[in-house]
Amino acid sequence: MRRKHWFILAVAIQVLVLLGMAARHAYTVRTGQPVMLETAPVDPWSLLRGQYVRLSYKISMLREGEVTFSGAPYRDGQRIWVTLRKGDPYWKAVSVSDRRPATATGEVAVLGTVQWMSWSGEPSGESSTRRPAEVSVRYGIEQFYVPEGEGRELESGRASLSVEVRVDSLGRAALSRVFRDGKEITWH
Amino acid sequence: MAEPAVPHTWASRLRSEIERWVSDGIITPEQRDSILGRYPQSEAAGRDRTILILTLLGSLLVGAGVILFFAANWPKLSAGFKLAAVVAAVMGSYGAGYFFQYSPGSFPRLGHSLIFLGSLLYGAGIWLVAQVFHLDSHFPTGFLVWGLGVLPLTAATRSVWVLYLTILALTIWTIMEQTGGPAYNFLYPFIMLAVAAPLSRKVKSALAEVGITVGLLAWFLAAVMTHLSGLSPRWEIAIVARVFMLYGAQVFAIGVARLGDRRAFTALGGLLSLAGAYMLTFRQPYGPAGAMPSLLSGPAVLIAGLGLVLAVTLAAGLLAGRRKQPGALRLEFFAAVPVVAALFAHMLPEIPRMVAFNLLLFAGTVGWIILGIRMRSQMVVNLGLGAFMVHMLTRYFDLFFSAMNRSLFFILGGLLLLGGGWFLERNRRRWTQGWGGDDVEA
Repeated sequence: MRRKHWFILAVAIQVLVLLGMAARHAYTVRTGQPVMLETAPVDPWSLLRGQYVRLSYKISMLREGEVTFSGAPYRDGQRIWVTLRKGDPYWKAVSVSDRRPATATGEVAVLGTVQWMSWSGEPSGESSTRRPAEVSVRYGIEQFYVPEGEGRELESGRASLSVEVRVDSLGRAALSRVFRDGKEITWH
Repeated sequence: MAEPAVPHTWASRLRSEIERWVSDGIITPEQRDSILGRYPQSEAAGRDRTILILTLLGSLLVGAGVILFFAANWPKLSAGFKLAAVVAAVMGSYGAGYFFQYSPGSFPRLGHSLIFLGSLLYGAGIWLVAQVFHLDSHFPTGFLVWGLGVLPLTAATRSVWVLYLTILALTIWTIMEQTGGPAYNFLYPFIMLAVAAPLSRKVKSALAEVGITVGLLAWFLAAVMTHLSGLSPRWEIAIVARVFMLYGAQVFAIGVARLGDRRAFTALGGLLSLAGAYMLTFRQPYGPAGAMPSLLSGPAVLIAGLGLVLAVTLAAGLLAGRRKQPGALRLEFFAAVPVVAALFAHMLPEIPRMVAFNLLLFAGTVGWIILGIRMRSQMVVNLGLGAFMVHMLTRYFDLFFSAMNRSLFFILGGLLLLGGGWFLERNRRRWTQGWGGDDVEA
């Protein structure tokens, strides 16, 4: 193969990576089931990424008694399935599993990654007898990018924030819309 | 007849020296012209370097500007427009770079810089697309996607700057992965050794080889520390020091066996070994007292792997050397000194260990200077002299700071520095007199 062809191939790989990132998001937003979640913001800034609001959800911290755990113990970085049940107006987590669960009407299973977990029960006991007390989960919907200077206003606004995410057939979640006091935030 | 191209630094020095020869009447202006006429390429090489630096700086500025432009996240631009702009910027930069680099009669330096700019824009594009679509993935993965994405471009263009970028992005990736959580990340050494190292050979870049070597050290250290998490800081330093010595011995052996760039690897390996020994010349001040852990209590697979690579390197170097110079003293044997010291340091009590490592560092520094003279490398000699001064000053501060009157301490310290500087400068001149260039291969 000539140098020109190798060059075109190398550039094409990079372009496909960039387009693939966008296409994956577009697929989830276009085909996914809408889920409303309550959230609260913080406000970091990154040179490479600009200003963004970091969103924390009620479903980010799953606690014993509020959800059921199956397939535990989980390890940090493990992919787990969280079943969400439709509420009014916000969806709530009801169960956590290491395998994809069957879902009923009004439920959806979303993939998350374990950040860390704490345990209840005998601290020195066998791992099989210990139960998760709290599991911190990340879903890939924790960042909302805003125009420069808008993040602090959002954070100091003391308004209630909520988001609409889409969950596709593969369990992947994508941030779709963000609402302040029930009104969609848009800068366009 | 023109001579073949010579190193730019050598030619530059020749030009400055030759003016003095003319003014001292050693040669005539005509002789000067005919001597300089033998090296016409050196002028062009200097100009090329200036052009390359200018265009690379331009690329960096444009890249930084584009990143900041998109980081402002202008709300008037739609997501589709932003995506198209990112892709167009990447493709446009590569397209222009290819045109200028490879089209007949065009501008290869400018083309090279534009291709480098394209690889910067691609990296920026990863985060910018994430910004446009509010993607929140594992942050280090961005550096992995960047490094792997530009790797095929390095192979296609043989661009040394894109290769530097690849090595840097992948090294940032593994450091973030390994320090963010317990992970050995064996993918990193595989990519470095199986792909990046052969590419470095193809583009003949000693700096890239050094970058890979330093990156692998960072990976190795992070892997060892992952295994030893929970150790007191006192012994973490002791582990790091001995990893430096082991790894330095490995790199030194690669250099003297000429399995990599001789000067770069010898200098880097020696420096790492001396730095490791230097760390063990102190009383370990942090954490509870106790016996120093054996290095073999670390991750057995990693230590054994390093030992195996070292053994193979030494064997290959010895075999190659025996063929070239039968019966000659092989420098590879010196690599065994830091290896033995690192493996058995824990067997000594603290004070004898400090004394032993001070003696070892002194001997190592002197040996390093002798090696530099033998290699006729000013760089190695200067580094050795610098290491010698650092060691002497450290011990001066250790021993006398609390024992002497402060004014006398600083006066004597200043005199020690001035005297040491005079002594080293005088001897360096004597040792390096007549070498001609910055570094001369033995």
